Amino acid sequence: MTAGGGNLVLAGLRKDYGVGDPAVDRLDLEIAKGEFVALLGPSGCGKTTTLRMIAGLVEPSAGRILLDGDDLTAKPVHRRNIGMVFQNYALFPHMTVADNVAFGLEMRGVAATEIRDRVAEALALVRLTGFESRRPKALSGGQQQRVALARALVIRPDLLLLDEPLSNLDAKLREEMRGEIREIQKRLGITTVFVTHDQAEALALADRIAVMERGRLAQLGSPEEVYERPATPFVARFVGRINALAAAAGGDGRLRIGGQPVPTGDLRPAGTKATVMIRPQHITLSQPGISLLARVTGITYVGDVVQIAVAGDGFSVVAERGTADSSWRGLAVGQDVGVGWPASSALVFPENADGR
Amino acid sequence: MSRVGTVAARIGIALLYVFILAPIVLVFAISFSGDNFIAFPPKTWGVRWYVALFAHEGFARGFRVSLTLASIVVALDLLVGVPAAYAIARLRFPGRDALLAFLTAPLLLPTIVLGLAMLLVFYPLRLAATYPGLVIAHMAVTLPFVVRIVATALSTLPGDIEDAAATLGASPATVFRRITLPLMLPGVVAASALAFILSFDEVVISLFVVGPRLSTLPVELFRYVEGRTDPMVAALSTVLILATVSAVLIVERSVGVMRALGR
Amino acid sequence: MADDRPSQPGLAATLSLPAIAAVSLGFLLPVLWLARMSVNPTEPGGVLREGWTANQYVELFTDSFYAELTLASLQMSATATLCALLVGYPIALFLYRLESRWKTLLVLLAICPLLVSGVVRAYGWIVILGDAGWINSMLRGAGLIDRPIRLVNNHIGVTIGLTESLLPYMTLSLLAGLGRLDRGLEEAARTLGASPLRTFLRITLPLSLPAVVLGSTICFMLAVSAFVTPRLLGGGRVLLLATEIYEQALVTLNWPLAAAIAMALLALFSVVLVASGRLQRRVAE
Repeated sequence: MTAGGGNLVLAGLRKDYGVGDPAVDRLDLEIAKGEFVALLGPSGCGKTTTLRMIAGLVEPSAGRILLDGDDLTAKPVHRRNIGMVFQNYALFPHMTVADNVAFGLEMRGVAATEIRDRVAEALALVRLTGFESRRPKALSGGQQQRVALARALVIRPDLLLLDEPLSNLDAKLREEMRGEIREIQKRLGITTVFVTHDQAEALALADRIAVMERGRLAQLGSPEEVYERPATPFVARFVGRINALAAAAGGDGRLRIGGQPVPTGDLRPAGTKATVMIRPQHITLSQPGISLLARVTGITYVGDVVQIAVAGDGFSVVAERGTADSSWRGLAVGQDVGVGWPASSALVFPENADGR
Repeated sequence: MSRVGTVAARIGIALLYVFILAPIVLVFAISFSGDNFIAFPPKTWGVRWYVALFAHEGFARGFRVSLTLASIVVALDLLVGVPAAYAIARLRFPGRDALLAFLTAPLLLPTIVLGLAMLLVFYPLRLAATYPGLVIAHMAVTLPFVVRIVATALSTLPGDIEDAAATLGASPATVFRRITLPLMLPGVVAASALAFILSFDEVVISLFVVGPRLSTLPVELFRYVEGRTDPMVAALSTVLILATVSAVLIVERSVGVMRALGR
Repeated sequence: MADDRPSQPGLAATLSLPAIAAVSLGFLLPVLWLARMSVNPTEPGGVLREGWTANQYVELFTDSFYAELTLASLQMSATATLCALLVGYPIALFLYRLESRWKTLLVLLAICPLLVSGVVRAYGWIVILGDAGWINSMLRGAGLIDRPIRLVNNHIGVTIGLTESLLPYMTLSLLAGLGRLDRGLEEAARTLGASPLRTFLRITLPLSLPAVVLGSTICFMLAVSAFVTPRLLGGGRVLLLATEIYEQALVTLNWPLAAAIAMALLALFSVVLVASGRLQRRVAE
């Protein structure tokens, strides 16, 4: 099975519902042919609206959508040749699996024999051969999901849009489908936009992640970039767990918490306030006397990792250790420890970095 | 709960069911009476009242009128009500709630008041005791149900499936024909059946707008019960009940079958 | 999520215009005409003349006959509604708790009077309650009476008939209300040590009160405007607002007076609706 793949450009895209802030504002995004991009953000950040504008289901208030240089903005939905998988799958309940998958081909006037072949091929791709005459209601959630995927892919779309396709599946199935979707997308080389609020899903699937916040693009980058070098405190908090500490620069320009200097890579003008953010796995715990003094307030064993909460003068952080690493086993609640981290792993944001 | 209590509760419930069903069951029983007057239990049994029923000119005429009337009413209800229901359930426009409230407003009015109002307005317009008058009158009390049922059926359609069809290349007209229409069909069938039964059974409003030349079956029945009490009415009632039950069963079957196809 | 469909007032208007026309013709126009008719002067012999008078309303408010009529209507409706509640609540509770494959059938049986014409059911009650009816012949057969007791053509017959005709509406309202009730609440009360009776009194009953109010309102409204049952089971001896409208409109042919009584009935309706709305809000809190 082949599928087309196009180069998608969103230029200054904006959607204003007339009440409150725009749902999407000044969105610029370029997605290369064959690339898998995740639109990640909390609910209400505009990611679904963006996806529906690309599909043609929502009319943009301003801006343009280009696919391979073609301006799609004024093209009605049914002429766009875009495959979309909906959150609730949106399978046609009055049609069989085969009819569902054949629908898009029928709309394109494809000959009956070719429809049969391509439907069979698409169902084979999602491993549903033999389910042709079933009704959607007679399928499990995962199977429905795969029918929806086959239905979107069989039309050889220029672009594949996935709207939280995994959110209605249970945890185990979700991970399985994650792999399956990625594998099919790679094999077909189809340009894909994937909307999700689940950062783990975005990190695992996407070539690049576009983190959205209140209608704006907060950061665009590879999973590593977004996770390791978040552009804003919002991105840092939304992608993965992180500790945030309020600090102020002392006379020597070094940032201090509760008067004690903390390791960071840079110097700041005296008196400036900043937020220092450190991932839990970068926090080191050592003998008291070195770096910040703190006391263990809780130890939570969560299987793969153990989380150690510590609190000191004017701050509290959580450190994380793999349970294979036995260094935490000596610790007990109430014990004094020294808290530190490598200066290179500290992210420093000026105060109000989130405010706009 | 104690066993005695449970048994007592069961018996109580059974008695309440007897109360609900007794009139209907006894009508059925007494239709086979051979007596001249209603007395229960009858002294003699037979089918003489069924024979009399089918020879009764007034009932036969009323039956034809009611059947014609209900058919016209259902057809017009669908023609007028389905587009309105579609607009209410599927389109976005200012005043949508007000429209639904207006179209279902006749249900708020007692039928006795509505019947009188129709009499007053139909008389000078020469619509009293005519088919157009009866059709308008029956539409007023059936259209609200059609609009409401079809609108509900449309608004409970699984979300996004019309959008999905559009992304697959279906034009708006095709989406309506291939997706929306088949999925709203069970609602339309249910609405038609209810409208038919309501129109066929309607008596209060009809009493005000019928005339000697054009009268419906329920009105004939009402007048007959008012005047005489013999078992012929029971025979007619039995026929009507059986007709209603079979209509309901047919609808249940067809809607059930369509459900099975649809869901 | 925001509703992202475009607004289409033009299309909506086109689609709903025929329905609006039908309802205007079959509802709005007649009701306005009715209001107008109620202030037309009355001429002897049912002759109609355009004009303006408050005579009908003066008569309604001064003639004690109409006060009695209104009171009789209210009393009858209240009694029938209460009876329907007393019969309907146990049935609804039974059906709500029932876990059996017969449940659908039993629900259908409980509401099946809806499918049978009111005229037929009234006739059925005549078969049961009439002088030669089932009850009288049973009582006579048992030697308890030698002359039939009057059960129809009076208030008893009308009350029984009305109760039965209201019952399906009451049962459906209560079932809908109970259906929204979280079964876990009753179970929670039981685990906290409440007996079945106390669970019912402290949990189920209070939580079903909104449905009780709603069902009673619907039944009361239906009862006030009921015509077929009072007419056929009352045999012309039970006079209510609804029967009087019919009498004035089709027998006496005093249309302005009939219209005025109808307007009074509507006013009564609005009062009940407003009062019930208040009560529902209070109960829901």
